[in-house]
Amino acid sequence: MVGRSYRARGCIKYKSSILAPYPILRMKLYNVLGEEFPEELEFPIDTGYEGSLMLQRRDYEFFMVGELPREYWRTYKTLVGRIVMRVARAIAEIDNMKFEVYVEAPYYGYGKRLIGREILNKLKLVLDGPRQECCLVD
Amino acid sequence: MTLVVKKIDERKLREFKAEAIRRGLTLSQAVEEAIELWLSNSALLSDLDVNNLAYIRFKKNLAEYKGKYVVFALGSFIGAFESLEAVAKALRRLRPKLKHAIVLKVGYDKKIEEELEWWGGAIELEAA
Repeated sequence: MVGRSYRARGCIKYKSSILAPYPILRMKLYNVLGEEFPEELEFPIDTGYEGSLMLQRRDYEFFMVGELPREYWRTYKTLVGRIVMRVARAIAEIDNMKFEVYVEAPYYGYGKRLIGREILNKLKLVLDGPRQECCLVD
Repeated sequence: MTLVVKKIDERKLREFKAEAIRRGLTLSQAVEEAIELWLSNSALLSDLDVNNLAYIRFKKNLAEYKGKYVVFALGSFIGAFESLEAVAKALRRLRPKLKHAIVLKVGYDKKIEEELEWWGGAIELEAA
């Protein structure tokens, strides 16, 4: 027993799936021009993804006004081989907290929406499985 | 057909005419050739390419801008800025409206040489 208690700032219901529901985080994103992405985005939490925020290619285009040089793009090893990801900077807003993040999208392929460890490690989250809620906590 | 073009830089046009004469071409032949070259040349670089080229040309100066955001757009170095708000202000002033720019925070953004993990990752491998 580590005797630690957390107070939830807000909780989001897990998304249903075929067998096991999965936790998500919801956030607003802005590009470097300060323009807000037209929808609030939901990202499945993926602790197996080392990166930041993965986007689909069509969504990533909105953030290309703040892309990093090619030599700063990232390569991931996956079950299907190596995948090169373009990287851009963006501003994320979760629960009224704004911070700078990287968004990524595959150079080839459509991509997915995922939130990875690079951002998860900056947040305090409680995954309440029995209640099927992902909570941002203090 | 007849083409009337206004507001052409006089010096460039003079040079263009002189080059056409040197090549034994009429002005219209030279314009046609230039159009053809421009359209067919896959060296019509994308914004991504020209901005990355501008970045590569500038790279040797980066150390002077540690901690700042350096910005490249429209194939040029736009400037170095203290904050993202200042970057946004500078980029919003540019015309035509940008689809691509490079924004690098010198000394903060890390070049990652190793392969990162994405366990079980799979994406649709359709061409983007």
